[in-house]
Amino acid sequence: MADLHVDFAGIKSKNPFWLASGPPTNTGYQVQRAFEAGWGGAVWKTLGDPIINVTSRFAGLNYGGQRVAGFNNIELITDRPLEVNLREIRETKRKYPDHVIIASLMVEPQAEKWHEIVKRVEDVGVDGLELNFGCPHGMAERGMGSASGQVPELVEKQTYWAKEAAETQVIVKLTPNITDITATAYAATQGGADAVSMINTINSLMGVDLDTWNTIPNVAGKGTHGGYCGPAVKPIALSMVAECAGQPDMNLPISGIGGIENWRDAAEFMLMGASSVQVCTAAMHHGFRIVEDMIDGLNNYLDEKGLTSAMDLVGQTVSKYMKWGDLDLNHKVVAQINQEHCIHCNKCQIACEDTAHQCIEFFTDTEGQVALKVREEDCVGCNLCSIVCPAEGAITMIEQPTSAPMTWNERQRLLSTFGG
Amino acid sequence: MHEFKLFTEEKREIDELLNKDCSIVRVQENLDGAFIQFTQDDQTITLHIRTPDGRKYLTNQLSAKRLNRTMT
Ligand SMILES: Cc1cc2nc3c(=O)[nH]c(=O)nc-3n(C[C@H](O)[C@H](O)[C@H](O)COP(=O)(O)O)c2cc1C
Repeated sequence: MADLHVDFAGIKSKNPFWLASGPPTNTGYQVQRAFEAGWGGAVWKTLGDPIINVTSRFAGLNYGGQRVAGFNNIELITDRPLEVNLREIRETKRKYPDHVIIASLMVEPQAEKWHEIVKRVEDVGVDGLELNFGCPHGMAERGMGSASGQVPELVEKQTYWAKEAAETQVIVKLTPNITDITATAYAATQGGADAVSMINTINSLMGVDLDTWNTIPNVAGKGTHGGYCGPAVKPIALSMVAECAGQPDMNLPISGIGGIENWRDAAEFMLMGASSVQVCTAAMHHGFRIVEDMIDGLNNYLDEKGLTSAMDLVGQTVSKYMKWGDLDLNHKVVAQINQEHCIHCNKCQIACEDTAHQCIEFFTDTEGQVALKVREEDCVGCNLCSIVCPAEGAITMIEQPTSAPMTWNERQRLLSTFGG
Repeated sequence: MHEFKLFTEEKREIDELLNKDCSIVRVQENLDGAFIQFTQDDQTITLHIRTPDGRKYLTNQLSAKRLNRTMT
């Protein structure tokens, strides 16, 4: 059995699985049940001036057979007084001293406000603070959340103010609603952050009801943009983690968040540089006990890989993620159809003929059956046929022998010596 | 739409000129593809390469030649 303990910016956790700030971490009752289920840590529902929520504040995107492929919410931060939350945090920490409790915080961008909340929260014994610069709705209209998280100077300043008062680790939670997340990650670094976490939710409108013409969700017939999360956002979150992990001048621990549902997702974020992962939507969809499979799965995976510690995974893929211009133009794969597995649905042929490079064609085999084959010399190796193919193993992308590697950047350097 | 045929033709033309010891003196790329200027003695020949594989092949040849030159 591998050791699942992680060290996240000096915060020791029995496993890398934390609940993200949100409905699952709203109360002490919930967080304690989550710890019993096996979660290593929890980021408490964001604390700040208690708000008033609207009803009808969630919507799910069901795609094909999958419920909640994406999730949208217009919920704000905690609606409970700070004092109540603090009492429950203190009690939870007392009962579960070996579990990590991070307090998520959001106040107006003023030094005194940050100083006050940091002191009050640290008094009850949290392991760290997460500054919520990410909530894209409601709070942003009041100058907080993503409104301040989109401005690097405000990220830096507020991080600095929190750090002025903080004795525990300060994690800055970044908004994905920005063109280049490394700009705000860098600002957090400049402000003295001990770590960053990403992503918060992505601006979204789930839909429009075609009968009533109301937005989905709607509040008495009116709607507003919300925050998108769940499995659909995982690739966006992963690329943002990758962008930050690859920054040589940043070098802060990263807590990966966004669409994580199982141990595989978690392992991917860890390989891409995250030393803890946070989960919200999957816990809301399936309950706290999903962590049992996450723990078992990660354990087995580490054993299979011959690794003794979860920390050994962290960052292994970072050096493999680079700029497009540094990829090998000579690398070549071509599609091959495995006739034994092909179900003759022709989806690959249609996709290739209509939207790719017209290199899948019909032929009649020795038994007089019409089948499909790839004209390999015209295949550009785009992967589309293998992506649309519904039959496992029917299309394989086969690597071809090629000449020495050459990247776009190397090519352009070479051509520049020929006046190109 | 058999682009491979077009590439094979472009490759044949490039190889033919290189085998005749023509040297590439200039490569210019623009919206219409790559234009390669070969010279031999006083003669200049320009090849227009349109396919991506042709443009890739060209640079692989240039790179191989450069490597050969540094090794000999
Ligand atoms: C209903 C809901 C409420 C949330 N509230 C908060 C919050 O109060 N503070 C915060 O930092 N993030 C909040 N989040 C964002 C999550 O912590 C997380 O960053 C995001 O949902 C992406 O992770 P996921 O795909 O696992 O849900 C909320 C998310 C949801 C779905």
